[in-house]
Amino acid sequence: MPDTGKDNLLMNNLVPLLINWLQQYGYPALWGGVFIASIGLPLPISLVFLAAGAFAALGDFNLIFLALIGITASACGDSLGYLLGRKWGSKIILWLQEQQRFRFISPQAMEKSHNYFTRRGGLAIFLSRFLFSGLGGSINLLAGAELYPYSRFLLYDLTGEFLGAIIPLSLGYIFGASWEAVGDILSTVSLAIFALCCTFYLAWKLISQLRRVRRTRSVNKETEKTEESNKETEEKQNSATFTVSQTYSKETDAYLQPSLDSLAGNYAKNGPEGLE
Amino acid sequence: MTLRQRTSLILTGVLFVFALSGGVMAAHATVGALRSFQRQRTLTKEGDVQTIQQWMTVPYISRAYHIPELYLYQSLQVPTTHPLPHVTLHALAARRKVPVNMLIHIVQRTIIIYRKAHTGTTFLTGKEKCPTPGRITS
Repeated sequence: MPDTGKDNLLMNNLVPLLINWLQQYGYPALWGGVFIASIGLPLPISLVFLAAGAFAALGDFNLIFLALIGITASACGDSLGYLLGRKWGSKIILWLQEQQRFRFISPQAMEKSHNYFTRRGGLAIFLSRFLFSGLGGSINLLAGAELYPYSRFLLYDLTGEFLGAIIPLSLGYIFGASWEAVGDILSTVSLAIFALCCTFYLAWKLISQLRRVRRTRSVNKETEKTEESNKETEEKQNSATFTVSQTYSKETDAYLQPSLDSLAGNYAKNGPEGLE
Repeated sequence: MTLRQRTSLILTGVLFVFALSGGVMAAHATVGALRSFQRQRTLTKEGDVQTIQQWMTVPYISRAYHIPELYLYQSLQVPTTHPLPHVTLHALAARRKVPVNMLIHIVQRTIIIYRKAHTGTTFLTGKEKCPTPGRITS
């Protein structure tokens, strides 16, 4: 039998159960499943969408209804997650910022992350709807906790969820019974893209850190060089002064020597009176 | 280089190696998944009974493999007076308290026997009258 990843726990238990609900209770079951998954419960909804697409290909469901149900259910679930984050998460963040006894994260770091989410949160919301769907629930809570504007959240959410529903439904519709293998490809591709993004980010971080270290080293070297050259100049100046003073003292000695000699001769001849 | 800079550099380097290894493994898994998909797709196109899965319902199998629904219900010993069109093989096995692989095996053998008996005949709707299948035991 072809290896379609059916040996794992997910394919053996959870997915058939969800598909059975989908088959027995139809669209409301799909709506409920997608809604619960969007709040943050780890349900393999992409696989259910693929299966629903495959069933739609043989006439069990209407593809447009499936897409509409998928988008509305996930938008409602995501909004609930956002509201929970806004109500409770923002309080937790405020507590973390204000309390003094157990400071796990510095207020500067909190401020920095808040600013970063305000700038890049839209992309995170959009991508977590279809590419990194495992992060969707956490991103909803975080967006609410960071008081990200709801209108912008909904815009990115709906755009992402549209792709998140349409892609697996269409693939299930096109490839039919092979949807499990398609699901495997989607999950491995998503993982590969995530790993690739992390790799590029870390490579960039590593290069910038190395550059910073190199820059610090070159600055240190330059400082050392400057200090050395300063020292050398100082030493040169000192030695020049010394030479000048030495030459000067020699010249003085040569100039004074005859008079000193005559004084010494007088002293020898006449004693202390000879010096007067 | 300060101690903090050195620690940060080592930590980033280790994470980079982990991410790169993860990326390579995920890429390898993607290639494997693509190959598996190609194999599965070929088998599905050929109508190979090995592609029958536990998530499939009887009407789905009937339409995908061109076998009359009633024929399948009879072989699975589901009373045709009260058929269960929206039940997957997985759920049917759970109801009957039998292993799902047993039901899959029964369906596979039913399809093979049907094809042998009706080469060139296709039943698209499953509503047509069809021959009674032989009793299949696992």
